[in-house]
Amino acid sequence: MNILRLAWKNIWRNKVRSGVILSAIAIGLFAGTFLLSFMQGWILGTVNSDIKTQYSHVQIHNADFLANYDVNAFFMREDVENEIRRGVARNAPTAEIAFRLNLNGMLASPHNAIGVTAKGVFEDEEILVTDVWQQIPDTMGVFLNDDTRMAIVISSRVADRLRVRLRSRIVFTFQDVHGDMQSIAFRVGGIYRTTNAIFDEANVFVRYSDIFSYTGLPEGAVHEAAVLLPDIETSNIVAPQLREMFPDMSVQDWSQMNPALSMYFSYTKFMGVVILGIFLFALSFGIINTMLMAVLERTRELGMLGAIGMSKRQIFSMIMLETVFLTLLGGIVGIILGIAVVLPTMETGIDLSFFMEDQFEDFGFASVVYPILNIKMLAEIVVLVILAGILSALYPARKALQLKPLEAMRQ
Amino acid sequence: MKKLKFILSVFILLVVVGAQNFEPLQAQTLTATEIIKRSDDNRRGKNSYSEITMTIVRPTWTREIGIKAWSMGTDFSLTLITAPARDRGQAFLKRGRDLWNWQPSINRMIRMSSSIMGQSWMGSDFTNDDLMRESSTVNDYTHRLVGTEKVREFDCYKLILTPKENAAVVWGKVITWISIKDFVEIKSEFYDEDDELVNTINGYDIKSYGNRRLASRMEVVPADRPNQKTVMTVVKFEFDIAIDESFFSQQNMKRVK
Repeated sequence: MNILRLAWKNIWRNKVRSGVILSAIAIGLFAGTFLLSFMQGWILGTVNSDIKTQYSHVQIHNADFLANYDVNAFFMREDVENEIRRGVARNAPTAEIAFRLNLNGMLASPHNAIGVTAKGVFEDEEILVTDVWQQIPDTMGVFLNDDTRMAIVISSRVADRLRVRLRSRIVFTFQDVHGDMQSIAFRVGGIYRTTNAIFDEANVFVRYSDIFSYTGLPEGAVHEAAVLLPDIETSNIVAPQLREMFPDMSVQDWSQMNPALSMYFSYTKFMGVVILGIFLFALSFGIINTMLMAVLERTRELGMLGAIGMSKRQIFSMIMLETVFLTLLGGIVGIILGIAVVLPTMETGIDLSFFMEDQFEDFGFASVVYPILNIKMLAEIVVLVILAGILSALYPARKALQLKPLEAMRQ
Repeated sequence: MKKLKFILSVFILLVVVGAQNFEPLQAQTLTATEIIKRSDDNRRGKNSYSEITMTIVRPTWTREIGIKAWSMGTDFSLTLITAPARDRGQAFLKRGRDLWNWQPSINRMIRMSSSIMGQSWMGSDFTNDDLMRESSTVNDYTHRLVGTEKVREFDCYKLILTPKENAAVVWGKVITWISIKDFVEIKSEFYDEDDELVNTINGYDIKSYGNRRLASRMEVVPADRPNQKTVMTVVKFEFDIAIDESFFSQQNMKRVK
């Protein structure tokens, strides 16, 4: 106990030196905390927005569908709907399910033609599962829920490439189940824009009822069932259950639909720790330097302490404690600073678009980042800080041990 | 005397009525739709064989492609590229609504999917879709005759075609000039829905092929790309040739010369 107090007092004997190293640690940890919560927020934001607009948590297809998105690889809605609802009811009673047709084809305007996937949706259930409808600005129409005949919802990126506007006529051409080409005229009923350019350029939405009769599919056929669950954790429970219930179908969760994204997800977590480690590694040289100076400066004093009966173990722990206190104090100040900066931006987000423009969105990353703080992450940081303190104390403390009390006192 | 008077009056009546009827008669029979139909029939033979040179003109280069084409009705056609050497032997087969492409250089038969229909055909100003789909000028549009106009040296009917609401046509409207004498399409302008000109097709050098009159040279000029066009020059056009469905097969694509 006395050693604790002694160590604490020793830190403040040279205020400038301790202050400098304290600030260095504080700034390093502030940057580390901020960076970690920023990176986590970024990747989680991207994952969640991808889940909300594109993948949902779980998708179910005919087992043959994913091989080449064959229009013939359909399943009957009535065959699976009740089972899916039963399957998710236990763990996620609030889950929403949307069924869709998925038709690959060409969208043509007078100026251009591009390949797209047309999703034939039931608009009422679609708006509960995906948020594309929320990405339509007020002046840009609606998500199929008005009385526009043969409405099609496209993204602003597609609209630009086709050089069309709201109410323009565009023609969608695709192959029906017999392999025959079907061309259908649609009117642009809504123009959306998500943060994911890749998604925007590939997906258009039409009413199931409008496009169904052209497909040649049997009544009630769909290609895709998308299930939206409350969160990723629930998805990790429900997806395997659904997989068991539908052994003959393809049941994928978001991480299987986008392995790259799920890889980024783990990678970012890992990289955060690595970066923080590098920060602390660099800082520990500063700590070693400071403590070494403290020890060498106090050679006489340490010799005296030894001479009046302080054991080597006590001297060792005193130096150790001084270092850990210094590091921990700097660390805590840094973390508090970090939290202070992150907290207000957690709600409003940090807009990166002003210096990166759409570059992130072109790769499917959101350009507004909402940083995330969690206890587990903060605990990890604190543990890392203590570890760094102990490791960097070893060398100065060992130096102190090597002092022979008599020789030291004579200096 | 009475009888003579009667015959005379009948005669006069006939002449007067006939004279009155004669001029409007022609205008009546040639409604806008009929003009389009005659021009369409003129172009479309039952079976035909043609040799065409397609010249792609770009600001910095031009390229000539030799084409041989066989067709049967609107459902079957086989197109063979004969020049340049690099593309020789490439063939396109249309059967009903399917389009196939034979690439001898990689020894592959490719089924052309709907998603690539919008791509340019052989680098020209035509898309695959233009060749594939015979969007029917007769059925997909409502036709309106707006008068006659002289285009270059030809007296033409000027017609405005507006696509029917459900027709799978991208254009906002098409203005077409059809020669009064031969029912040959002399010029067509394709507009988007904002009445902005997108493409112009011009027909030149009307020639007789069998009992038909056709423009032997056609130019496609995209409006928004200056110094760029595609010219199709007819070298040979034979109608009503003897050909049957078996000619339009994948096997034949590989060996046809």
